[in-house]
Parts: sequence; C-alpha cells; structure tokens
Amino acid sequence: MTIANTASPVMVVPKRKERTPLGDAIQQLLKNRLSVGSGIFIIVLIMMAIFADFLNGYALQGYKINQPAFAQQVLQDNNAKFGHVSESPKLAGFVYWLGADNLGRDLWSRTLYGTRVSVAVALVASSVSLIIGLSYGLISGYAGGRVDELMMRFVDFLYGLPILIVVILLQVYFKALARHGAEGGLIGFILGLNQAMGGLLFVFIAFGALNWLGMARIARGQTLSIKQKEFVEAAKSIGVSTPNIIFKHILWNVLGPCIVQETLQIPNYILTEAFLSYIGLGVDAPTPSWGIMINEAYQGLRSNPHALFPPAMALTLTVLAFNFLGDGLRDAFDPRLRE
Amino acid sequence: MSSKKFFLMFVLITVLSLVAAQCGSAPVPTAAPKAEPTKEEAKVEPTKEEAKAEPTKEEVKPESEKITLDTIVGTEPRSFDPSKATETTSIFFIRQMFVGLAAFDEKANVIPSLATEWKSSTDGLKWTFKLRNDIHWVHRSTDGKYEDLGIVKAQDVVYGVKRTLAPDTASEYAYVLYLIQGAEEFNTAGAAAATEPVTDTKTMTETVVATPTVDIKQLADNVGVKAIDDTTVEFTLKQPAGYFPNIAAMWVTFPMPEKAITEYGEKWTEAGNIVTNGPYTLKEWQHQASVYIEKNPLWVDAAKVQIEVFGGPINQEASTAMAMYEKNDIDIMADPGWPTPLADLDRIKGDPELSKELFIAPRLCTYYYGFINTKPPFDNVKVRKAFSAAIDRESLIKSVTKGEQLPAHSFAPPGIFGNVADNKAIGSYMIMDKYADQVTEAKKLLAEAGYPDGAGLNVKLMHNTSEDHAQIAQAIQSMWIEAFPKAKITIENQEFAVYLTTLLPATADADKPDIYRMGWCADYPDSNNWLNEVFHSKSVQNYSKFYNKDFDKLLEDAAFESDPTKRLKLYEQAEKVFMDEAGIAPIYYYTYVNMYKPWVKIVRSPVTGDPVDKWTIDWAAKKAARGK
Repeated sequence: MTIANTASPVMVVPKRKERTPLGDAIQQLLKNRLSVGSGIFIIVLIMMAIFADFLNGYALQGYKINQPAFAQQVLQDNNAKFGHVSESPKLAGFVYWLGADNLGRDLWSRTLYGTRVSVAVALVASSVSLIIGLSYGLISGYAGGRVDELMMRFVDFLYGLPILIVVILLQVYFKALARHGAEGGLIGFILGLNQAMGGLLFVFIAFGALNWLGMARIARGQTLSIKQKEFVEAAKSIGVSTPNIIFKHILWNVLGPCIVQETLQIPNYILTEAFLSYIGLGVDAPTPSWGIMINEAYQGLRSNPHALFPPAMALTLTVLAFNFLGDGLRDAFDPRLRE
Repeated sequence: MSSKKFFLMFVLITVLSLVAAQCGSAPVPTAAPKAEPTKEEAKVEPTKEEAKAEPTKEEVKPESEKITLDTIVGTEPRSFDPSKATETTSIFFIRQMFVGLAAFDEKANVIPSLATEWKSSTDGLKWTFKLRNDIHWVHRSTDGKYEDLGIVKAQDVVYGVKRTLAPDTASEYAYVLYLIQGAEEFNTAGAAAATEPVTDTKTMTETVVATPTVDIKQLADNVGVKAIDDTTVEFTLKQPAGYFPNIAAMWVTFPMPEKAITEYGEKWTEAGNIVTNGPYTLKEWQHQASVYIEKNPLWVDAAKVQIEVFGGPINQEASTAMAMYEKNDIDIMADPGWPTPLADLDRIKGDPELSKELFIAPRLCTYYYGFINTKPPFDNVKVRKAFSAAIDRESLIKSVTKGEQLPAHSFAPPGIFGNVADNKAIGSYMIMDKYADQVTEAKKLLAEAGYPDGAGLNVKLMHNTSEDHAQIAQAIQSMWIEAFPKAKITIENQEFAVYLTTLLPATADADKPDIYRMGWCADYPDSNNWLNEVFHSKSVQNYSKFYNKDFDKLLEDAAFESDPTKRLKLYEQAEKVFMDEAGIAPIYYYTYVNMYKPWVKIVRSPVTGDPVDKWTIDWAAKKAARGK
C-alpha cells in the first residue's frame, strides 16, 4: 500500500468515468423498473397532495363553494354512485366521478385531501425519525464505551414500551389538551397550529417521538464499523475535528442504509395513521384521511360498497409503491446484491 | 437447554389450561339443564298446560331444541342490579328478570304487576299497594336447577327502595325517589359521611364516623316506605304526586332479594348467584362476550311464555349485527341489540323482502345538542339560539337519520304528559317553513351577539363514540360552517363512560366541550321525568347547567300540582321558557327503526324493555329458514 502511494506520480491512471457509491446506487436503481414506476407514482401523489385545492372535483368542474372541498356535502346526493350527476339546486350538474359518501360528499375530493394527510404523515414522520435516530445513533456509535452503553440501554428500554398504546395515550392526552384550549403562549400557538392542520400535528409528534429507535440502532451499527475504517483513521491522524469527521466522513456512509430503512418504514406510518383515524384518534372530522374514509365506508359496506374503493385503492397502491421503492433502494445500496 | 425446558413448560401450561377451560365451560351450556328443570316443572301446577303452548314437551330437551330467540347484545350491560342500572341494555334485561309493583303496557299506561291494586289517601300523600302472593323468588344454579326461595313479600319492596337510596349503593337513579319522605336526606347524608373522615385528622376520624352511622340508620328508618303486612306496602310522600304509580313501575322500586345480596355482595348479579322474580332468569353472562336469559319454569304465568331462551353475543358493531340478521343468525334488529344501521336503510327500504321486516314507530326519546350555558360564548342566549336555528332538521332526518323521525322544537316528545310538540309557536325559530329563513335569523342573532358570520368563534362539539352520532355531527357541522363561514367548529368523540364524566356538572367548564350530544328516553311518560329530572338546576343530569329561576319555579309547581289541566299549562310555560332561552337545541324525536324476522311476533313497550314473555315465535318457520 505504502509503495503505491509513493509511486503514484509515475503511474498513468487509465481514463475512467469517476464512480461514487451514490452514483452507482442511482444507476442500479434506475435499472429496476418496478422501483422507478413506484417512484414516479409517489412523486405524482405528492404533487396531487400539494395541489389538492386545484384538483378537487369542485374546482375542476368550476363550482364555487364556501366550505373546504372535503367538507362540502349535498345531503340529497348521499351515497351517489360513480358518475352520478347532481340534481340539487346548490350544485346542479355536478358530476361525482367516484360517487359520494353517505353525507353526499364527493369521494374524489375527499380521497385527494386524504392523500395530503397520508403524504404529510409519511414525510414528516420519516424525517423526524431519520433526524433523531441518525443523530442519536451517530453520537452513540462514535462515542463508544460507557456513553454508547448507556444510550443503547435507553433505546432498549424504550423498545420495551408498546408503541401503539403509547401513541394512543399521547393522542388522548393531546386531544384533551386541545379541548382545554389556551389563549396565547406557546401552548396556544401549538394548539392553533394543530387546529389549522386538522389535528395532524399531534399525530406527528406522537409518531416522531417514538419511531426513531430502529433508526438509532442501524445508525449506531454502521457508525461502529465505519469508524474503524482507514479513511477515518487517516482523517483523525491529520487532525480533522470530530464534528467534521462525523458529518463529512461518517454521516454520508451511514445515510444510505438509513434511508433504505426509512423508506421501508413509511408504509407503517401510513397504516398506523389510517388505523388511528379508523378508531377515531387521528385527524379531526371533517378532515378526511383514508383511514376515516375506510371506516365510514365499512359501516355501510353491504349497501354502498362503492364508497370503499377510492380510499382503499389509494391506500393499497401507496403502501405498495413505498415498499417497492424501498426494496429497490435496498438492492441499489447493497453491493452484494448486484450481479 | 433451559430455553427448551421453558418451552416445554409453556406448552404444557397452555394445553392444561385449555383442558381446564373445556372442563369448566362445557357442562354449563349443554349437559345439565336437560333433566332437572322438567322435574322442577312437574312440581308446579301451571306447567301442565305447557303442552298447549308448545308442541315439544319432552322428557329431555337438547339445548338446540329449546325455543330460542336470537339477538345480539349491543353493549356490555353495566349491571343487572335494579338499583344501579342506568342504560337501556341493562334495563331491558332487568325488566325480563324482575317485576315491580307496577308495569307499563303497550301504550305506556301504568298497569298492575306485582301489586294488584293501589290507592292514595285523599291528600295524595299516602300510597298503599296491595301485593299478590303468587310471585316467587327463584334461583337458577349454573347447572340449570331451579330453586323456589319463597314468595315475594312487601318487605322485599321496602328493602329494594331503601337499598336504592342507601348511600353505599351509590345509585345514579336515586334522585327519582326524592319525592318519598326522608329519601333525599337519607341518600345525600351518606355522601357527607363518606367524605368527612377523609378530610378530617386521624384523631377526629373515629368520632366523625361514629355519628353519621347512627344517623344513617335513623335516616333509613325515616324513609317513608313501610310494609304494613306481608302483602301491603305503604309509601309516604313529601308532596302529592299524581304520577307516583309511574315511579312504582320503575326498576329502582323493584323488590330485591336481600339474602342473595348480603351473601354475594357486588357479585350477586352474576349468573348462578342472582335471585330473580320475573318471567326469565339469567342463564349466562360472560362479561364482554354474551348474555342469555332462560324462561323461569316457576313463573306464575309460565304456561303463557313461549320463548325459552333469549339472548346472544355482545357485539358493538351495528353493521355486523345487520350481516348476522340477513344471514338468519339473529331474529331481531332491536333492543337489546342494535337498531337498523343508518348506512343500510336505503337498501332495506328498496328491498322487497327486507322492507317488509322493517318496523318504524315513535319512541319516547329526544335527540338533542346541549349548550354549556355557563361557558362563553354560549352563556349568551343569542349565540345559543343562532346555533339551534342553523340546524336544518328536515334535511338531516330525510338524508341522514332516515327513520321518519320528527323534527324537534321542544324537549318532551309526543306521548309524554305535558309535551308541546303540537304547539308550533314554541321554539318556532327551529321549525320555520323555509330553512333559509332560519339561517337568516341565525346570522342576524349571531351578528347582534358580536360575532358577524361567526368571526372569532371557536366551537367544540363533542359526542360519544358511535358511527351514527359522527354522521349527524358532521352533517350539522357542515350546516353551521355554511351559515357561519368564519366560525371554527371542531368535533371530538369520547367513549360513553368517559363522556358522561366529562359532562358532569362538577367537571370544570374548561374541560368540557361547548356543545354536547345527548339523548333522553322516558323512564315514565310524564314531563316531570323530562324537564324536572333533567334540566332543573338541581338535577345531576343537567349537563347544560341551564339555570332560570322561573323555569325551576314552574317545574316545582307542576310537581306539586295535582290538577292535570293546570299541570299541562305549567309544563307548557316551562317548555316555552326553556326554548326561548335556548338551553338546548332539540334535534329530533326518536323513532324505533327496528327489524323483525317474519316468524317473530312482538309486543312492544314505548318505555325501555319490551315484554319478551309476551313475544312468540313460529319455531318451525325459523328452523326451516335456518336450515336453508
């Protein structure tokens, strides 16, 4: 090794495209059609969530309403089937592309706004979990020794808690807090923010606070192995500061596996949100979430099965897409899986 | 090695517990009841005629051959203790298993039951009930043996009334009996005695405890109910009350089996412990799983009771119940199970078969949204009125509840003595010809109150967890947003038990919602049970904390008044004050939206607890349908 170093000026390095691990991974990922398709689907989904105000049925068909589109109801159109044309004086001629629920709310619009909730949960919960878990794991792994021991036992302790029950308890607590209300102050601000988000903020907090454990373990494991590597030794020996080593050298090598892990977790977040909403602890009515919509449709399943399709389809496809993308990413980042 | 041992142990324990569970449960439903009841039956006279009522009189009757009416049970009953029951599921079963002095017929008239006749003294203060002497206390053991524990006596009634009032019982319905002399003192003195020792210092405790116990005994003796002899009970009231026989038909005055209660304490209502005096006995009550009652062979009219077993699994999902009904697994969609779910009503009405089984009838209940009258901004009558006026009751009934309910504009529904449902002048702002006019009125009121278009309002609406309540809440929320675009309205739900605690008058207003959903069903068909017992400022049920001096006065006068026409007038005035002040927003008067299989013939009661002993079933038709 040392010989090669001294000899470098003499050797003629053959012209070769520079390859980085990230570049390799992207190359690899693009070869996986299922993953690419899923990625595109997810991007479209995010776009739909962002532009829901312009894509909902009422906006697209040019109807002016003075309610949020997901709350707009025409009681006499309740349980309208696919493509039903409204005859109500308020919204004459309005077409329910996907039908209406039992309060006469347009299912297309509601599913669309439900996308917002699911996408928001996916993005926020995963970033919170990534940030907390990654920093915790990096510190723990890099520090090693007693600190590492202590930090990891704490994670073990948290692992022992039944997460779902804790999330439910937190939700109940936050909801009570919201009912209590507070004028001004930090709590007042948070409550206002939560109300503006249809009760979503508390779901996020509950998730973020509890879902970083797996991430911390993976990050720590990776850090432990990478900090033994020569390039870290080298950086240390030429006097690079510890934060620089962590952020410039270790972080980027740990990030790959962590992102993969996080992508595979996203379906869990979406499903848990749907579950919380299903049992009435998720977003506040009338804000739609796929979980709430599925619950409402399920009650009338025998009479109006059509109401179940839009949210159930959306949920299934989204969860599948995130899973496929996660699988693709994992394969792409793992050199051993390449041919 | 050790993990292997562990595993083995685990497997062994699991298997053993399974076996044990099998042994424990198996004999209860199948083996035992075959021979014994028939033997017992033979002793009692009336059963000889039983052959007429039902063709299947055999020595040994397998469980599946018993004439069974299947239902589901909507919620886990809170208690089968007549002193403690408060909700419809428990009360339904209590009415099958116990009989009281009086009962209600199909038109909610008071009819004799355990008492054959009663009369009041000329001043209306003393009521004497003559009891019949052929109703027996019955104990059914878990293996199906019936034991006669003697005649129900006047002393049992006295014991029952005093037990309901006893502070230790903590009955939520005790206030109904406050019109009996000394009842309120007895019931409330206990509360003071119970809290005092806690607050006092250790040294003080002994003396403090000692005095109230003496007091309580004395207070119990002072309660105006006594047994003149074994078949005569006398009540002394503190005020004349023409509606007293109604109270005598309520479960809180039922006779109770003192021996069983002292023997088993809290557990006396469990199957195998319970001692009952009605047409049915408790056969099985697996908590959170199932409830079954069985015909009491020692019942005086046992020959006329056709249905031998009634009950089913506890299931909280109305949609599941509907699926079971359509599969012929259950015979009724009615109390004590679920009514027909809203989501399926349109399909049922359109279905040629199912529509024939649908049964809609008025019910003595009112669905309402209460305002917390002490919590701003709902301490302002204009805000309350505006929110009440902005509800489109007609559309709600037509498109959401769909059960031919009547839009409500007063509290007591038609069929209650003193109701004003026909007087459209009362609460007229809720039932204008055009809903648009109501909205205009509501907007005007809200602007006058200082909230134009609802600006600055942050309203929290709460209901107990249920899909149907959620639907109604969202529909009304949408109407409010439509009428007051700038108001923020949020909906929250809580599980029923928690919900009731949240609403208690003692809970701090800050912990309460601004608007709450509630329903009230008649315990007896008189406005006293409605306005006075729910919204008098002293009532525990007055969750809205509505207070109006005139209103209270009118109700007290009406309670004392014995002239029916004057009472009617007083209740009319009270309703008017109540609606003018918009203490609550009544939404609709309930209907029963039930379904019965064609082979079931029912007799219903407008008051909770249809008499199952009078129901009949075409057993052959049911079996044929099930065989399919």
